[in-house]
Amino acid sequence: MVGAVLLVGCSTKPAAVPAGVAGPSPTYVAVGASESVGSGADQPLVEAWTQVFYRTALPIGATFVNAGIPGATVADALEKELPLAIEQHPAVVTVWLNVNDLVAAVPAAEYESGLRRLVHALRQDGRATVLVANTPPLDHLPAYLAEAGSDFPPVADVLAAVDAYDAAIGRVVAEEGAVLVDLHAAGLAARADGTEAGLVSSDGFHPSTAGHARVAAAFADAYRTKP
Amino acid sequence: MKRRDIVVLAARSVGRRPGRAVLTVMAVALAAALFAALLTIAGTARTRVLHQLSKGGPLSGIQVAAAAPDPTQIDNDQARPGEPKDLDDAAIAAIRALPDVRSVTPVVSARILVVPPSPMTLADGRQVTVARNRRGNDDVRGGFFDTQVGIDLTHAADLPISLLAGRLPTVGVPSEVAVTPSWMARFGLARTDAAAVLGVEVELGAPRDFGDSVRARWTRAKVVGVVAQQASGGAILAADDVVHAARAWTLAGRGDRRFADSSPYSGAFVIADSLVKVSAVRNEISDIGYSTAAPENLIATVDRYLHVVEVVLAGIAAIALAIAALGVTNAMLAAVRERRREIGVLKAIGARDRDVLALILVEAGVLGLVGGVLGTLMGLGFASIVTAVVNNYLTGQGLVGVQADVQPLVMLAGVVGAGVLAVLAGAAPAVRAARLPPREAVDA
Repeated sequence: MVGAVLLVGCSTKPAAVPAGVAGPSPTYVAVGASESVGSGADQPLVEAWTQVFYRTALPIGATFVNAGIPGATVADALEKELPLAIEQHPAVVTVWLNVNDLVAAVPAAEYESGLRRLVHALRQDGRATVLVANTPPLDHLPAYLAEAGSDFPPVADVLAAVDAYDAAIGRVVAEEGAVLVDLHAAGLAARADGTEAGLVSSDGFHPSTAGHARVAAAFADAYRTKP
Repeated sequence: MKRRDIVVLAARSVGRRPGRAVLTVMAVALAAALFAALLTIAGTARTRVLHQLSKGGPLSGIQVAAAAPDPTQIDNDQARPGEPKDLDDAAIAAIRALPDVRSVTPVVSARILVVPPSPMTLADGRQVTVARNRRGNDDVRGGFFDTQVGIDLTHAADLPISLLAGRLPTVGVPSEVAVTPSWMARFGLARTDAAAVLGVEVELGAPRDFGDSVRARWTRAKVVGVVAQQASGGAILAADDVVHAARAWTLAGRGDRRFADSSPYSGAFVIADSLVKVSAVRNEISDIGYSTAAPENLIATVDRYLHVVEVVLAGIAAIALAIAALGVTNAMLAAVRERRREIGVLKAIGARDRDVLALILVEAGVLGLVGGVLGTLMGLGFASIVTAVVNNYLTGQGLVGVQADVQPLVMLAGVVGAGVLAVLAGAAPAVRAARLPPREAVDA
């Protein structure tokens, strides 16, 4: 009987839990549009570039809030995303807002003004590192190419608009002490090595899973090498 | 005769017949070993059974639910809770202020989205994924909803928590969690795989309803332990401040209570001063307005029966000791017969009757004490072997192990009892030797 009694499930009582040393625990906020919430990835929860950046570039104790809204422009971000971002008192912020503004034909000057106010607020007087992405190459996107000959602007106009936006982003980054994430250069490099097509999802517009990983890597590199 | 002379003579007479002395000592040792082993094993079993009934917590532990008591369930050990009722700091304070309450540990829970690696690589190199076609595993593509339970880790020893593998999260390190077998079952893993999930990193998202969308506040955590019990209805155990932060994020949202109920605490674990106070404390908590559950009646009943088992085993061991005592008596009677001339000579040179009595009793006592010490150690060793075998079996079944419950009182009783019993057993031969007339002894 005793033997049978001993066969009842047993436990090891946990020992007194020692106090540990808390590691770094920064808060990361992503400000952006559909790309930032993972559109185009097979499993957005896992493969969105913001999630990959959070997982690979930041310590395990970091917290992440994604303020991104699909279709958002800079004006939308100022109104709807900035309050949530500031509420979190982030130490790291990523900003990728340009394609929707381009599609909405927002003039470069207006875009620059809005972006400057956004980045300035997110910097929180220098307490936060703000990484701002410029515009990746759009002229080879299947979604754009499929509309060739319609009301979409010609390639030259698209290239000029992208250049104007990227110049504005460069000025804002320099003046506000942010960090530039050069997605444009990364896109051209992918074009040169023949991998560009694989970085675009089946919708012809958003990054694919591989594209999200490449974007995350670009942000991570910029974060690690920030001055 | 001086005491020292008596002891020296006793020791010499023991050494004169080493074979008989060894056999006598072994008889006593075996009886003492049986006594020590049976009572140690019985005590270990008792501790383990009661530990299991209390789910790893103190015997006088009481679980308080965030619910009103059901009047029809008041006297039940596992009372079914009534209507939900917020359990807040004021209620916790009221419970803490009750007489006969030793401690109160609140438990907080939050609904979270769990995103494990896909595939998830285990510590042994295997790769697993969330099992499909299992209810709840496809809540969200790439993740699933579950409940995270937060406790004050500095009071973990007061809670009904026991470990299958690893350890509990470290105090002050929010990026550590423990998981339960139900969490492992989502990946098709059994309890025996507990050690394999240690070190896995997961992403946990506290959801907030923004009206037009649901956003998550993400944290990452490493699995550092697997607990045997379901953590208050949840699959992930963390520090209470971590879960409070998750709840605060969720509750700041708008809309329905899909992700969090209003009660600040999902429950509490109360420890009464003793098992006999549990019923009274439960009644007082019910009067405050909360439902309770505690296996007090079951524990008390099982404890009584286990005590009967211990008494029976002690009786068996006592019989063995009595048999050994008869052996001591027989050996001492033989020794007295053989030493009639020696005894006569001692008396002729001035030894008194009580000196001869003391001589025989000391000899018997020495045999008993030596046998008691040897036997107690042997009994401890045997009990340890049995415990190790049972422990291996249990851990192999994915259950938590067992430790031998060595009771100093049992050890002392084995040694001292054997000595005293041997002295009593030697009383008759000692009296016979003491009454031998010197001339009759010399002429023998």
